[in-house]
Amino acid sequence: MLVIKVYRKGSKNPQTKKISRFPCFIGRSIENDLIVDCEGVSGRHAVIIKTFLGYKIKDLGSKNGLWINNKSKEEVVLLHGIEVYLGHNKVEFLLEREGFDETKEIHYRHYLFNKNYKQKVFNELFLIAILCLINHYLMADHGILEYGFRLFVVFTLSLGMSGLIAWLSKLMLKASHFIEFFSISNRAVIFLLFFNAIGDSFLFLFSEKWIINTVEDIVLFGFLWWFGYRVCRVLLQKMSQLKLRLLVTGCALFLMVAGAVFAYFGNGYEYNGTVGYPLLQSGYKNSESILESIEKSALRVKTMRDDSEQEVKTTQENTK
Amino acid sequence: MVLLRYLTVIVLPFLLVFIPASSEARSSIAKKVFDKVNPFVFQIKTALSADSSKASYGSGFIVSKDGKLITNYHVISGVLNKDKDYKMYLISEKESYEASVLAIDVINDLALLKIDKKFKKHLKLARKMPSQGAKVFSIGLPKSLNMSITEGNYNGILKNGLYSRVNMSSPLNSGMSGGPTVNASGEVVGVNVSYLLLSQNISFSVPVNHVRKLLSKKITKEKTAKTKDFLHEDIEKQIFSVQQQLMKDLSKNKNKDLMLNNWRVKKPSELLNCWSDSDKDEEGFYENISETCYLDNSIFLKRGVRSGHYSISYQIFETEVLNNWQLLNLATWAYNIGSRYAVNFKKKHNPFLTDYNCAETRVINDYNIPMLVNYCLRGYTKYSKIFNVDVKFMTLDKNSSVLTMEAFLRGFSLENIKEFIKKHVDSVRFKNSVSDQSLP
Repeated sequence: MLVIKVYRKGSKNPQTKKISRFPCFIGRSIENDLIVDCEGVSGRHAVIIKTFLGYKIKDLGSKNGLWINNKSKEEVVLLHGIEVYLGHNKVEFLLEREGFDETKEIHYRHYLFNKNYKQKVFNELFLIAILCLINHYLMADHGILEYGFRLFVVFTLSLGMSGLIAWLSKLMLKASHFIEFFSISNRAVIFLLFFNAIGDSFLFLFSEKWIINTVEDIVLFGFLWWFGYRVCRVLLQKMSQLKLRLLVTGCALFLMVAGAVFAYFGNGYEYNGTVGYPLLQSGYKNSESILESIEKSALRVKTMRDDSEQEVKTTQENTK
Repeated sequence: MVLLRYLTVIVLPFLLVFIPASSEARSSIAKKVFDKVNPFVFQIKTALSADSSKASYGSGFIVSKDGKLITNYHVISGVLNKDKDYKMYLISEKESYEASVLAIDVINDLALLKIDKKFKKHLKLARKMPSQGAKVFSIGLPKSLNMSITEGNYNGILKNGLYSRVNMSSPLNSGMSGGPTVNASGEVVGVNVSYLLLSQNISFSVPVNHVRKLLSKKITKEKTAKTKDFLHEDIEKQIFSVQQQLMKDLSKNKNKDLMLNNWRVKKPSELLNCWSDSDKDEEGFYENISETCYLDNSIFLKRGVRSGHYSISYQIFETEVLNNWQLLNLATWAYNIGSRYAVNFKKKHNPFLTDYNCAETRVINDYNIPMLVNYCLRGYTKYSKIFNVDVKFMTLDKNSSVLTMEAFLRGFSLENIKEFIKKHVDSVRFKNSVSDQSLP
């Protein structure tokens, strides 16, 4: 949804309207969707269109033109709070997310775009790093119950960590800066969805897999992109959406290739410990070592068997 | 034209007469055989009690006057392997008798049972196998319907290492297993056991000499609670002996090698059924050469659990186009996912087997070739001496070739598993490398 505020020349009381249908024609005549009956506005002055990158306003060959920052332009991408002049008349655009309470929106924006962004970037990175470590630690194969437990752990941890960081930053900065519950739970759900992808995508950076050829890779790339986008959105507020997205895509690709190069020259081409290449001499044992490890695992199997036997016995006794 | 019409008129009545006449002549043999054998063949079911419905069913036949009967082990395996006390029942027209197990031959899928009833006659075991092409008849209750007889030809004995089977062309169906296969004079030639899937009337029965061996075997006379343990011990012994013989056979071709392009590996045993294949990638990036060998037969232990067999497969990927990175990508794929008979290392819980215990080692073999070895070991909950193992290893040559091996051993002793893995790891080398044995 787009909120438009039209100021007449010299006046301070705007005429406010919400636009939900696109394309929306602006002009003086009755055929238009938004009629702006002011001096210096042509019969059909401009059109607002919705693209996948956001909203745009286009000049339709009007007499007085479109002005932004004292420069006349053919086409302008509409950001939140942007001021555009139709001739001499100021028009302010406010972006509104659908289904959002306005106050919540303000808080969210406040969180994203206030001056302490360094702290926030640190928070995000810190949280993700800790979750990655936990995830990596829990990576081993488990049954359904344990898997559920893992999900629970990750979810509660992400909730708790976000809360803790918010509280800490409040103490440290002595500022009335907060993260509301919505943002915390939102993040927790996202971590939940990607919690395997988080660990993998960072492994992905340091592996030799630099060709995107499977669905899994695409998911990983997507996560990397999402993460980069979130960081860049905070860091580079003034950049346009298109440029920002292109930049993030470029960065993600670069990181992947760099990771592959690093892996190739760094640690002898190891991928998840499954393959060694070039097969280096260090870390390899004599083939006799297989026999020892087989004996070890045979012992483990024996303990497993004994456990199951005992289980059977206890259940039989219980039934008796 | 007129003449032709007359001919048809004359010929047709002849045909009509001859065809029924000849079929009557053939069916009369089957009828005689059926009448002779029918009183000694019964349905056998396993169930919790005589009245409750069946858990499994099959056929069986009487071989002695004091009520001993032969059936397949797979018909009554539930009695031994289920937690609850399942019993076997012989169902005759009038009443059903509870049976007890006397002895088991898992290698040939046979079981010797006994019921408390005396017979005046019993089925005779044939002394000679029929000549190839002779008529044989299989009798049993297919799909638990009614007593049926099917007719086919005897096609000799297939020897597959330890396992031997009569190959015949009579159609078998589930439910007939355990029933007798008899010759034209009504003597038992074999015991119906299996048929080849996706084939036309290729069926197998256990040769009668195994039945004779089972009859002469030592028999337990203890009570039923203890017989279960005794039989399990016996089963373990039998599987143990099978794998010992398989290993003996492996050591036969000690110095023989299998050449796969630039690689030289241990030659698989001649007992195995081997297939080789070479194929080019669709885009022409690499060439795939494979050699896959497996044992045709195995021991049935329980539904879903087979033992006493192994398979081995080698795969080679050769390339001149791909660079190091791409080759490694290919190698990882081939090793982890792309293998044809991919090892299922997922922990599927099976009460008959323990969970997997897996390990990974990096070794340098006797020919200084570094390789990655992965294996997963698994035990049987009831048998302590035998294990299942899935093993695979891989190695690379410079930047042009990948070699992977996969093997599945089922029901092998720990010593033999060790020997098997070490032998196969140590035998891998390049084509031109000199073997140790040939050195002065």
